[in-house]
Amino acid sequence: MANILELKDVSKIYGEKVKTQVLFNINLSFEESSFNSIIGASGSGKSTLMNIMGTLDKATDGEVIIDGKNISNMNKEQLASLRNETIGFIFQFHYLLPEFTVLENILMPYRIKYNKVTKEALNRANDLIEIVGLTKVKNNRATDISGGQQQRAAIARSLINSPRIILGDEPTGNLDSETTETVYNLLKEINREYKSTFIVITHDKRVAEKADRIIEIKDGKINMDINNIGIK
Amino acid sequence: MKLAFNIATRFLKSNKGQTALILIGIAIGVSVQIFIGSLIDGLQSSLIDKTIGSSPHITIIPSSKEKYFKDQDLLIEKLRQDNRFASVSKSLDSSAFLYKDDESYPILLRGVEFSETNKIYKFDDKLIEGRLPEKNLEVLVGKNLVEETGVEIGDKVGIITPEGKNLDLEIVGIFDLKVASLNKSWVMTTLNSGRNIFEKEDRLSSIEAQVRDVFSADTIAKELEEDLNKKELKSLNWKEQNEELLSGLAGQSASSYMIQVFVLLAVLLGISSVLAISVVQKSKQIGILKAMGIKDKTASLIFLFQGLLLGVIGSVLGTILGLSLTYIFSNFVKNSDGTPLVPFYIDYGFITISVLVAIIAATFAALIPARKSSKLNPIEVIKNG
Repeated sequence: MANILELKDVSKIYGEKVKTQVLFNINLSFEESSFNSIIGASGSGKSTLMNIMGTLDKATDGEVIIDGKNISNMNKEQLASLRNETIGFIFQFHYLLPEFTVLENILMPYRIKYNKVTKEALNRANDLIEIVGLTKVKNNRATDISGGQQQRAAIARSLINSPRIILGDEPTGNLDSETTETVYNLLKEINREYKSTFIVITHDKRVAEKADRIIEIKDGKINMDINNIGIK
Repeated sequence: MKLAFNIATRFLKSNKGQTALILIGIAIGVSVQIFIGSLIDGLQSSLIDKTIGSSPHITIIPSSKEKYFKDQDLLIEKLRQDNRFASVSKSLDSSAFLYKDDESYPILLRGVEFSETNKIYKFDDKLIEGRLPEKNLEVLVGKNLVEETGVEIGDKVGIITPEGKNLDLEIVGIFDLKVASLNKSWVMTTLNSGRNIFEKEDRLSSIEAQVRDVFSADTIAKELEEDLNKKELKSLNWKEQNEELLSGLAGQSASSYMIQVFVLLAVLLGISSVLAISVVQKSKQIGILKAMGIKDKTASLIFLFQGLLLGVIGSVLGTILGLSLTYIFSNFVKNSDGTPLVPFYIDYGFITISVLVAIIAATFAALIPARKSSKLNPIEVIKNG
C-alpha cells in the first residue's frame, strides 16, 4: 500500500547558541490505513517528532512528505490548510473550546474549511457524536462534561473533515485505565471503519501493543520498529 | 469572516464581567465626549445667538467722513437677491436731543423700514407696550429712556435736531432690547418719518444686514468690498468687531477638543490592554484553532472583530448616556429666570463623528492584540512534554 506520510533524514535542533539536537536523521514511512504507535521515555523526542509530522513544527533538516506533498516549500497558510484537511489531532489535553458546545466544537474544523455548516456536515457530526457516545451531552458546553467525554469529543472533532492522518499525542494520558480502554477501542474501530491512518504517541506499553506497528524512540533515534500484527 | 465573527462574539460572551467593564469604559468615554462636545457647542451657539442674533452682521456705511450716502436701489436689490443674506435693512440715523421737563437727553433717532429691521432687531417681539410706528413723527422709545424721563405712551415729546429744528414726536410704543445703552438712546421711527425730520430725501446713513451663516460674514463682506469701493462705501462685519469673543470661542473649542482627545486616548489604551490580556487568556483556544488549521489572518480577525463589536456597542451606549446627560443638564440646570443655562443642542454631525472615531479607535486598539494572536505559535500552547 502507498505511504501516506514519509520522513526522510529528519533532524531537529533547538536553540541558537546552545544547540540541543532532539532528533537525529529519522527515516520513517507510514502506510495508508495503518495503526501505528510511537513509544519512548519523556524527553526522547517523540513529541517533537509528532509536531513535525503534524506540521506544527519545522524540521531543521530533512524532508517531510504528507500525502505525496513535500511540506518544506509550503508557507504558513498552505500548512494551515493542509492541517485542516489532511490531519486530525488528538492531544493529551482535549483542548476543546470552552466557549462552544460539544457539537460546535466538533464542527469547528469543518467551519474553518468551508466557513459554513451544511446539513450533510451536521449529519456527519451527529453520526460521529453517536459513534463516540456523546449524543446526550452534545449541546452541553465543552466544560460541562467529564474528562473521558471531553477526550471522546476531541476524537470526534479530529474526524469531522475525514482526514487521511490522525495524530494522537498521548490521547489517553489524562484518563483512567478503564476509559483508556474505551478510547482505544474507539480509535481502532474508527481506523477499521474510516481507513484513516493513526499515529499515536504513548508511554503506556499495554496501549502500544494494540497497534499494528510499534516504533520506539530513544534519545532522538529509532530504537525499535516492529510489526505487531502477527504477535497480537 | 463569519467564523471569526462568531468566535469573537463567543469570546466576548464567555467573559461577561470583562466585556461589561470594557463596554462601560467605552460608553463613559463616548458619553463624556458627546456631553462636553454638545455642551460647548450649545454654549457657543447660544452665546453667538445672544451676542449677534439681534444685531446686524454686516453694516454698510460711507467710506469717507460723510455721514450720509445716496439711497441706491440697485445696491439694495442686489443684496436682497443674494441668497446668503437673511435680511437687508436701510436706515437713516441722526443724533438729536429729547426735551422733557427742562432736561435734555441725547438720543439716536433712527429711521428704519420696520418690515426688514424687525428681522434683525425683532422690535415686534421686543415691544413691551404699544405698537410699531406707522405715520410721520410716531416713534418707539426704549425702556430705560422711559424710566429716566418718565414719558408714557401717547405723550408728545420735543426734540431738537443737529440742524436746530424743533419737532414734537408722539410715543406709540416702548421696546426692550435687553441692552441698556440701546434702550436708553435709541428712538425708532419709520424711514420716511426720519427723512422728513432730518430733511434728507434719498439719503441713508447705513445699510444693515444679517447673513444666514454668521461665520461667513467676513468672507461675504470681502466679496462686497470692490463693489462698495466704487460707490465710496465700506462695510463692517461682526467678526472684525468681536475678535475677542471669537478668540474666546476658539480657545473654548480647543480645550474641548483636548479633553476629547485625551478621553479617546484613555479609552483606546483601555481597550487595547484588555484585549491584550484577552489574547493571553485565549491563547490556548487560538493555539488549538491554529492546529486545526485556522489561518493567521482569521485568528487576528477574531480580535479585530472583538474591538469592533466593543466599539459599536460601547459607543451606542455612550451616545445614549451622553445625550441623556446633556438633556438632564439643560433641563435641570437653569438660570434664575427659568431658561436653561445651556440650551439642549444636538449636532448630529458631531455625534456621528464621535461614534465613528470611537469605533475606529476601538478597532485600531485591537490591532496590537490581533497581531499578537496572528504570531502565536500553536506549539507554545500544545506542549505535553
